[in-house]
Amino acid sequence: MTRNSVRLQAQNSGLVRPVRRIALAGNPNSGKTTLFNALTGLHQKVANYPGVTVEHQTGLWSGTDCDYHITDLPGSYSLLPRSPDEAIASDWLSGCGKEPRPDAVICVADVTNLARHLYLVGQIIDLGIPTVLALTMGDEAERIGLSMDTARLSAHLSVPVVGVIAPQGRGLGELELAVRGVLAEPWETPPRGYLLPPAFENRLKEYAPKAGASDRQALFCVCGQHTGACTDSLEKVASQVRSELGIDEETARRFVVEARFNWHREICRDVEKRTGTARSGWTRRLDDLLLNRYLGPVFLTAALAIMFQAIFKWAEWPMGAIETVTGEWLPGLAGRVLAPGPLLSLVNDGIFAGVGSVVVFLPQILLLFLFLSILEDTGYLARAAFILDRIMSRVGLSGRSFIPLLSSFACAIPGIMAARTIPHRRDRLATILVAPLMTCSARLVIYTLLIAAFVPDQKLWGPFGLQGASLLGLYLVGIVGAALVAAIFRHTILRGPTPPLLMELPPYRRPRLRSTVLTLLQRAKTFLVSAGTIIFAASIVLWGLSSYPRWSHIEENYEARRAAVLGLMAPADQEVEMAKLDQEFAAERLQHSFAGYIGRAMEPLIAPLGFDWKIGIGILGSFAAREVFVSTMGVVYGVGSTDDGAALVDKLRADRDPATGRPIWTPLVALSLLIFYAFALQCISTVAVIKRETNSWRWPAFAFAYTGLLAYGAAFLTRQIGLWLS
Amino acid sequence: MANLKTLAELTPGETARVVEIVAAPHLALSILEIGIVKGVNVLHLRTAPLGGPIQVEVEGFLLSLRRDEARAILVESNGKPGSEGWKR
Repeated sequence: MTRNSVRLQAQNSGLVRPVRRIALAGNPNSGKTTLFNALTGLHQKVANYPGVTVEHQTGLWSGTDCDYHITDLPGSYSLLPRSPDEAIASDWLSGCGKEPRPDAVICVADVTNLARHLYLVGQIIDLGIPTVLALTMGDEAERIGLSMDTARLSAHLSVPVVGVIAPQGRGLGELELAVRGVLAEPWETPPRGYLLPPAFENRLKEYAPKAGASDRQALFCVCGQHTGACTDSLEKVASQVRSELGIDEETARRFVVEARFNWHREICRDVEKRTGTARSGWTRRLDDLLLNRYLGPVFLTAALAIMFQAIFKWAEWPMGAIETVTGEWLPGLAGRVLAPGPLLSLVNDGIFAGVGSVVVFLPQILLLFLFLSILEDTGYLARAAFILDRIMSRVGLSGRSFIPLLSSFACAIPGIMAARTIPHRRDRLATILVAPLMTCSARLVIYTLLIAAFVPDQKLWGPFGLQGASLLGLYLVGIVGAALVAAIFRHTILRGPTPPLLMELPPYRRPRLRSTVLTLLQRAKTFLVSAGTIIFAASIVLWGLSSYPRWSHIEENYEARRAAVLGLMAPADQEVEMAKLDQEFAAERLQHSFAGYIGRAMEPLIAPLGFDWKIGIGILGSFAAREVFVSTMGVVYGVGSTDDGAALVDKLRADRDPATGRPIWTPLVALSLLIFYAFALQCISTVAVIKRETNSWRWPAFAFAYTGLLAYGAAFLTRQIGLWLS
Repeated sequence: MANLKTLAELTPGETARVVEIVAAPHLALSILEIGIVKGVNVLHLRTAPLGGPIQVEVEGFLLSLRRDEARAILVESNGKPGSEGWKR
C-alpha cells in the first residue's frame, strides 16, 4: 500500500493530517535528488551529470504531526533561467507557474562548494519564501578536512541551516524540526546582506519608498525580474533608477551577481575552517589520467568499445535462456494443454513467437542502461562531453548535446527529453531532430538478428569479433549520419551563432548500487509493459493477417501431396521431403494471406531496395515500433511452432524465392535493410515526444519525413553500390 | 598589473585572479552566474584532449568552457603554482 493511499484512508476516517507543500531546490550535483529519495522513499534517478532531473518529481514525506508534499525541482544554478529546465524551478518558486507557491523551500547546497551553491540559495531567500538550508556532502567535507560552523552560517543568512547526510539518513530529524519551525510562524524575509555600489544603493533607498515598496522589490524591478510584485509605479521608479545610473537591466543584474558572490565569499571565509590539503585532489588525479591528451581519447574509445562488446557477448547466455523458455518450453506446454487448431496456432505462432522474439532482447537493453547509468553516476559522462565538444561544435552542436544523444542510444525518448538542459533553442532543436538517428535499443534488436544471421562469427583481435565490429559500424553510421544532418540543419533551417559552453565537471563519485538497480528495474518494467501491450497486440494482428484467409484449394493440394509422400516414399526420404513440403505450404499460405496481399501491393515501392513482400510486411508492422519488425519476422516465418524448433536466423538463411530458387536474404539485402533501419524514424512514441517537447506538430512531421527520405535514399544507394561492386 | 591577459592565454598549471569580464551582457551574465566573478582565483588545468574547450578550477569546482568564453575573462596571472605560494 502506498503512502498516498494510507493518507486517503486517514482522511476518510476523519484523522486528517495537515499537508504542507515543500519545494526542494538546489544546484545540479548538490545531492538534492539523494535527499529527496531519503525523505520520500519514492525513488528517482541520482546522477552526476548537470541537469539530469528533467521533469520535477513529487513525493510524500511523513513528519511527526504533519505530512509534507515534496516537489523535487530540476537542478538549477540560478533563478535567472537560461534553459527551459531552469525555468521550471524559477517559475515554481516565484509562483509564476500553474501551481501556487510552495509553503516553504528546502535549499540544498554542497558544503564542499558552498560559495557557489549559496548563489541560488541567496536568490531564493530574496523571494521572501520560508527557507531552510540543507548542507549535503558532510562526509566528503570530513574527508578533505573541511569543517563548517552552521550556527554562524545560519546567523549570516538569517535562515535555519541543517547538515544532512542523506544516504545514511543523518540529520533528517533536525531537518524536519527546522521546516516545522519556519512554517510555524509568519515568515519574515531576511534583510538583504549584499551591498551594491553606493550610487545604486542610495537611489534604491531614495526611490523605493515612493512606490510603497521595499528596496528589494525595487531591485527586482530594476533588474527586470518580474515576480508579480512589480506595480506600475514601481516600474516607473525602476526605469528612473536605471536611467540615472546609465545602465540597462542586464548591467543591473551584473552588479547584483557580483555583489552576491562577494558577500557569499566573505561568509565562507568566516564559517569555513580548512585543515586538509586538497579539495578535489582525487578527482584531479583521476582527471590527469582520464583527460590526458593521449590517454583520454583512448579511455573514451575503450569505454565505448567495452560497452558495445558487452552488449553483444555478455547478453548471450541470458538471451539463450529466454529463447529456450519462449521458443521451446512454453509452446511445448501449450501443445500439451491445447488441441491442435487455430487456437494453438494463435498462441504459439502468434503470441509466443511474436512477444518472445522481442523479450529476448531484454538482457541487452538492461546492459546498455547499466553502462549509461554507471557513466552518468560516476561523473564520467560530463568528461566525455568535454572531450567531444570540439567534434560536436564542428557540426554546430555542443558538448551538452552529447548526453541527450548518448541517451538516445538507449532510447530516443529520454534523449529528447534530456535535450531540455540545452539552453540554446537552435542547439536544442538540432539535437532533438538528430536524436532519432542514434541507434536506439529497438534498432539493436533488428541489428542483432540480421548480424547474427549474415555476418560470420570470426575473430578479429583478442576478444573482439567481426560481429561486434559490424555492430559498432552500424552505430557509427548513425553517428556520422546524425553529425552530417546536424551540420546541414545548423547551416540552413537552424542557422545561428554557436552558443557558449559553461559546463560543470562534477567530482568523481562512486555509483550508488541502489539507484542503479532501481533504474534498471524501471527500464525492465517499461520494456516488458510495451512488449506486453503494443507488441502483444501487433503480434496477434499480424498472426491474423498472415494466417487468413485460408484457401481450401491450397490445403487440399497440401493434404494430397502429403499423402503421396507418406504412402509412396521410402521412410528414409520421408522426413526430408516432408520438411520441404511443409515449408512450401507455409510460404504459399502466407503468399495468399491478407499480409501477403498488403506486402505484394507495396512491393513495387520497396523492390528498388531489394526487399521482397515479407520484408514489406515487417516494415509496415514496425511503424508502430521498430522492434515489431523482429516479432513480425518471427510470426511470418512461423518461429516458435512446436513442430519446428529452428531459430529465426536459420529460417531467414534458408528462405528461397520460389520462382528462381535463389536465397531472398542475400547479405546485400540484409545490409540495405540495416541501413534503412539505421535512418528511419519508425517509432510512434518518439514522434509523440518530439511533439510534446517542441510544442508543435511541425517538427515531428519534419523529423519523420526527413528520416524516411534519408532511409529510403541510403538503402537504395547501398543496394546500387553493392550490385555495382559484385 | 603587468601580467594582464585573458583566461584563454593561460598555460596548464598557471593560476590567475579574475580582473574583469568583457563580453556582451548575456554572455557576461552567464559567466558571472557560474561563479567566475572579479577577484576569484582560477587555475588553468588543461585543454580538452582533442582540443577545443579548456578545464579550469574556480574556487574548488571544476568547469569547462570554450576558448571564446575564456577570451572574455580578463585575468592577472600569478604564474605557476609553487612559485607564488598557490596552495593545491
